Parts: sequence; structure tokens; C-alpha cells
Amino acid sequence: MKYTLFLGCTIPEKMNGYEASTRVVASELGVELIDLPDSGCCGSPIIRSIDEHYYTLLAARVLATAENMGLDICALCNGCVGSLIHANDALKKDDTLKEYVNNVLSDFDLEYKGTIEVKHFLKVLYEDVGLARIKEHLKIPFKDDLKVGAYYGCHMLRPYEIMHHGDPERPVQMDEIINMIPGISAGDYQGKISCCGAPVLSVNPDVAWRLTHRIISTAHAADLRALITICPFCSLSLDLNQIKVKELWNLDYEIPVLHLPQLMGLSMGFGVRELGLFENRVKSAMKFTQFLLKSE
Amino acid sequence: MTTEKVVRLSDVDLRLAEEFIEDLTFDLFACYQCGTCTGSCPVARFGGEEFSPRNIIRLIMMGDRDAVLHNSLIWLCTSCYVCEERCPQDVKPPEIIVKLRNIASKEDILPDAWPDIAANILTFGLMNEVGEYENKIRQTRFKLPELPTPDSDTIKKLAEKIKFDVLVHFKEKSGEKE
Ligand code: SF4
Ligand code: SF4
Repeated sequence: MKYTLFLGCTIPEKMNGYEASTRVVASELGVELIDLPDSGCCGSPIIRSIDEHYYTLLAARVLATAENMGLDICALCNGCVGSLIHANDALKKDDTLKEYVNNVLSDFDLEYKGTIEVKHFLKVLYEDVGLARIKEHLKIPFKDDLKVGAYYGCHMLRPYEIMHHGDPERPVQMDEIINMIPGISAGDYQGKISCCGAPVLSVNPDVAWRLTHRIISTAHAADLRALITICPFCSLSLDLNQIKVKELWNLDYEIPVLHLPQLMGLSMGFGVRELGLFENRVKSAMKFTQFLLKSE
Repeated sequence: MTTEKVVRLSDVDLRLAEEFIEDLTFDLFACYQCGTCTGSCPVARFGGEEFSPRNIIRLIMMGDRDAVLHNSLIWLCTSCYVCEERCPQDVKPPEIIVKLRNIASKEDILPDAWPDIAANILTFGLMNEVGEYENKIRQTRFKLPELPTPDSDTIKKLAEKIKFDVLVHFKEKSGEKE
């Protein structure tokens, strides 16, 4: 299993722990991730809102670069995945758009052909590696039944018509992976498919914080011990902004937020440093190692 | 007595809709104003601001260009796609909102922070700079490889080619920074 790894903007700058834990978990599972030789913008939902043409060109540039390597893209950010899949889908369906794009790209020795797929790392885990193989590697149990909440984020699931990734209202993929970890189970909560608010943080932060609050508070009400994310923007909202939300709503609880590969990595035997757990903003994330039966 | 204005056929004004309707992959006029979208919308339910995808579509049909473009309405959608998933008529409110935002940006209406975000992409190839300092942290604290350098040159030239740089006032922005 070999993919080219597309990191986007936010992960290399702010979410090194997500990247580090993904790399160790992928290698443990035999997933080979080759860095895309240049790391530029995915097209970005913000750019799409300003000018769809420029957005499509940026996304097509990334897709064309990966096509030259002959590899499918594996991305870790829901924003990047959404951007690239939307553009890939539109370009595959619309010949006029494809012609326009290739006309512009030809000046830069690039051509979009439509030969590759874009997959979120969760999709690689769930569909390509498979639950059975993942289970073999999740060896170290957690002590008592810890209930955590899977938080998928919007662009991983919707629109289904384009993402083709499980039930957009009742997603199960991450829940099933989490349930493979001995001693951990995934629990439901009302905010599970509600938006984290990140896309409007730069427009109206109050709205963004209210959306974050909805998720954090419903996770708390469901007695979840942690939230597990698969997107740097969801993580930013739930982990980093939880501090702001606690202050605004005067909340006395704190819910650690871990990237899915960090949680998996702990059960695979990797340590706090290898998984970059010291980077997570709600500090009790680090204490998650205490729950392991056999600590490193 | 209801305060919502009754819409008569004579009120319908398609001029705004005509600016983007041909680019849609679905039928905007299939919307029968059931409100499922607004009822599912996290911003409408929990965002604490007046926001309603159903109402945006209603305003489009009435051709109220000002109400649609010249206030904060269209910028609050998070593109979470819940409404699109649930619409019984296969209307896609977030796709409509993207078209409206594209029209607004041509009229120089954008959230304050966005031209700077765009300027960063044209300058660094990424939304934020990942330079020497960030790469050092990547390597020393996280044992991560150096980030492949983004091809910011191509990214900027692509923008110039279709005048995206003019649209976001890149020259003035980058001039200010120097
Ligand atoms: S867009 Fe769809 S869900 Fe929203 S009011 Fe129209 S028909 Fe109903
Ligand atoms: S896509 Fe936009 S309008 Fe639709 S539910 Fe989400 S935030 Fe509301």
C-alpha cells in the first residue's frame, strides 16, 4: 500500500503531533507514505469562496503533481480532502472545466488527467488496511472501559455523493477502529456530526465558539473521557479553542482531544514523544498513558 | 396575523439568480421552501445569529440582491453540507452560497481577514509560512522530515494569469508588508 502524503497548510505548521503519529502508525501497519515533492495549497475552501476558478487551478496543480508520481493521494486534513475530492470530481465530470484548467496549467508543464483518487487517512485505514489487520497491531490494553467520542468532522462525510465514505448521518468507521482498541469503546453524543465551527472562525469567532461549545458540552453530558479527531481544523476547534469556550461559558470540565493515530499509537506501544502528545493543548491528553495497562 | 410578506408571482425577480444559475448542477427552483435546511443547519440552530439557508434562497428568488450580498448572511455558512444531505428536493444550499460569495468578491465584498489569507497563499504557497523556524521545530521536537518547499512561484503565477491577484488586491497587500 503506497500513497503520496499531502499535508496541506495547517498540519506542518500547527499539528506536528498529528503528522508524527500518522507516520508511525502508517509505518507500523505497512502503509507507505511518500511525501509529495512540493507542499503548496490544496485550493482551500476560503479560496473557493473567493474565486472558484483559482481554487480549481490550485487543486488541479496538486492532483497533476501526484498523477506524475502515479500514486493516489493520502491526506490528513478534512479541508484538503474536501477541496481535492470536489475538484477531482468536478474535473472528471466536466470536460469544459478540464480543458480550461489544462489550458492554464500547460504553461507550467502540468496536465490534469484524472487518473488518481484522493483518500483521507481514515479511509485508507478502514478500506485499504482493514479492521482485521489493524486489530493485530493494537496490543496494549487500556485499564478500564474508557468511553471516548469519535469526531469525524464535516468534510470527511459530506456530501456523500462525492465523498462516498459511509453514512453521513451515522458514521461508524472511526467508531469501529476505536472499538478494536482493547479497553476503549466509542460512545455516542449529540454533537457527533455537528460542525466544529472552524470554517467561520475567520468570519465571526463568536459563531465558531458556539458551535465548538455544542460539541464539547454534549460530549461531556455523554460522559466521554476524550474526543478523537481526524482533522487539524476540528482539533483546533475542540482542543485549542476549548480553553476559550471554557472561559466564555464558565465550564469546569476539560476533555482531552487526541488525533486518532495518537490513540491508536498508544495501544501499539509508541510513547508520548513519538506520538507528539505533548503538543495537544488540553494537557490531560498526555495523561492518557496512565490508563494504559502496561505503561512504557 | 403574520408579519412575513406574502410573495406574489409579480415579486419574483430572476436577475440575481440568472447571474449563476447556469453554473449549477441542480435546479434551484426545485426549492419549495420547506425549511428542512434551516432546521438542520448548525449555524441557524446554535450559532446565535440570524442565518437561514431557506431565507437566502427566498431572497434570491425575490431578486433582493442587496439583502443577499450586502450583509453578513452569506459568510456564516460553514459548508458543513448537512442541509445539502437532507434537502428533499436535491437543492444544494452551500453550493449556492459559494456562487453568491464569488459574485460578492468581484464587488469587493469579503470578510476582512480573507484577502490576507489569500495574500499568504500567493506569498508562501501555503496559508501560513513554514520556514526555517517551523522546520527546526519539526525536526528537533518531532523528528519530522523537513517540509518539501512549496512551489510558491507557480502558485503566484497561476493567480496572475487569471487575475486572482488583482481580485484580492495582492499588490497593495504585499506592498504594505514590505
Ligand atoms: S433548499 Fe431544500 S431543504 Fe431548504 S427550503 Fe428549499 S427544498 Fe427545503
Ligand atoms: S452547509 Fe451552510 S447552510 Fe447548510 S447546514 Fe451547513 S452551515 Fe448551514
